[in-house]
Amino acid sequence: MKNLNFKKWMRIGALVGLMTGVVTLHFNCAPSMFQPTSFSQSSTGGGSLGCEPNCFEKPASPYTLMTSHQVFSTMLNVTGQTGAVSGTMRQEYDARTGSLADNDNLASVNAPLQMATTSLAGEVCNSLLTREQGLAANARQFFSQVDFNRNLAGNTTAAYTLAIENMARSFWGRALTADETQVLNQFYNEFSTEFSAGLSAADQVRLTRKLYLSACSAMLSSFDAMIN
Amino acid sequence: MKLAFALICLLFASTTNAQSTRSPQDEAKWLLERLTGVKWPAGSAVLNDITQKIQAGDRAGAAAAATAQPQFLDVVVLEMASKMSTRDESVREPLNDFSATFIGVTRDNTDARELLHGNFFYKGDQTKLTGLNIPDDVVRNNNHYLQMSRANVSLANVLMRVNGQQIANSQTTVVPNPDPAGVLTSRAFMSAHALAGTNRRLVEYTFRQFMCLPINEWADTAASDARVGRDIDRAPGGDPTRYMTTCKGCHTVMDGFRGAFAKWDYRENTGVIVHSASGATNGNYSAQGDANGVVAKMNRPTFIQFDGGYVTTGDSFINNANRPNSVNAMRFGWRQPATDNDAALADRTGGVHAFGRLIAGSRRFSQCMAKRVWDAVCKHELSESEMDAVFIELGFAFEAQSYSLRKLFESAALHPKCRLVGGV
Repeated sequence: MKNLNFKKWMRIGALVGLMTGVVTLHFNCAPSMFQPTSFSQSSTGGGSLGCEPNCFEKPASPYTLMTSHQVFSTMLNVTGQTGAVSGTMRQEYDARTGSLADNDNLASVNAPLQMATTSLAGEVCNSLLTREQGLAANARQFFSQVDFNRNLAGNTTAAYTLAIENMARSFWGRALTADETQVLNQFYNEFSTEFSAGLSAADQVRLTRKLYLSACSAMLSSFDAMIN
Repeated sequence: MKLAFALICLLFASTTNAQSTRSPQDEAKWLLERLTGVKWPAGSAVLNDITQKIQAGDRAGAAAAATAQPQFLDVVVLEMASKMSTRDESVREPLNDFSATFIGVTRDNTDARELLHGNFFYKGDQTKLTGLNIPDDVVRNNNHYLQMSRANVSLANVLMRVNGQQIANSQTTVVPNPDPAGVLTSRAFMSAHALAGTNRRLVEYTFRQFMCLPINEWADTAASDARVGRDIDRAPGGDPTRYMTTCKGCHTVMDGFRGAFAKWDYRENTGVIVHSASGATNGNYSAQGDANGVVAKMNRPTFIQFDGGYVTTGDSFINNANRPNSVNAMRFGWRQPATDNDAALADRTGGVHAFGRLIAGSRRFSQCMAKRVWDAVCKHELSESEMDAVFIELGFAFEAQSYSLRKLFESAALHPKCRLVGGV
């Protein structure tokens, strides 16, 4: 029995020794094959405002920021305009690229980036609206119930609701939440009451397009549309 | 013992539980968005197709369906290649011959090792660019690629492989590239790294981009400095120790390989890359090599700091990163140079073509491509020990899949560590 215990202890000792050796070799003495990527490898690294390298730690997040090219390509893809870049869209993209991200670090999000995204979204939405206005109502993807030849009072709220639901599914890949619906409805109410006051009949008709341009731009440039 | 087993089971169960909570729709959305770099409308045909594949347990098929989308090449691969193509290492680099070739090799599923030694390049197929007025000259400037990019054509559709690299030897004529080496002899890479300097940067950035190691990581003061050039002071500030402990480390390996680029240069005024064997007589297109074809900046006769330094007499090179039992030897995993199907070039032991084959044949090249793909798709850091394991594993998978970059992207995206728990 004593002999068995001794053998058992010898085996445990040998096992511990072996594990210590492996751990020492693997984690202490053996060189690491790869080093964590430093943002200093990127040209402007931490941000789009000339932030010095390493000024932002990259968060360990399941979400990442999209680069300028990804943002623009996404806008075209979710609005069904891939391959149909207008001159004004290209001009806006060229003007705003410098403010958009050149890396996937979420910590790079800043006000100029958000403003640039909104400006770009405005041009993409403008093109989308122009395209859809030229189509028959049943051929439209987003604004099928909207009558752009009438003012807001001449359009139904159901048309607006359907449009924002369509945009949410396309731009965000999901349905609207109750909170988002409330915010967008509030926007609709303020827009239709405050902005239409004192406008000529023709301008009131134009306001219909402006409402959808605003809603589209806001949704296409929201935080959800900037990350993947 | 039982307690330890129970703990391990619990840990495993919690991990698998966390992963199993993702719905097929959620999994499909993430996979498609990461492999294409863009967001997709809910209910789109491609998203539905990928969701169905995931529901059927065909995750490989799902990943393949994602990489079949043009945005995979036009966005994800383009940005990865753009970052590697020039000194700025920015995703905003304009399209160039380096990135077009990288995209083409990925699209066509050809052996990615050829990126470092192949005698080919990719450019736009003019029959698919009709009416866009895209210039065809790719050796004198970047306009062909730039205008193709601005014309918003899908690179996935219009790129075509052209066998036989060319370089300009006058304003109007071109000759076959005497030392073709895939993207290493692309105009973009050469113009970024052969510009001025001493051609050491070409070695540094080849290792940086294709071995994923910055120069300070592979410096080796114990290696031979017999190849270190005359322009390197052996006693900077009068202190020989400084050379031995700092300068020497980088130069042993870098100068050992530098000879490969001895006959190459870049002419900024004409925007062309030049080789001393091109037969050019005009100084703007000639490398102006010496009797051996070695360009002046390799030996810098007007800047000799140490008379006993190495004088380059040809395009031979030696591998000082393969010192027996060294960290470098282990890290790089040197093997036979990559297979060369071009009989006319296969016997070469000097020049960029042979250098590219050596790099491409290493184990590190495969692991580095795995790391670059990981960064492009998974977009999060791993711990050092995880990195070693994951990139070695994916590197082996890359080799087993005939060095297909497309398959590597798919493997990385499907790797259990790629997606962080709690993702969108």
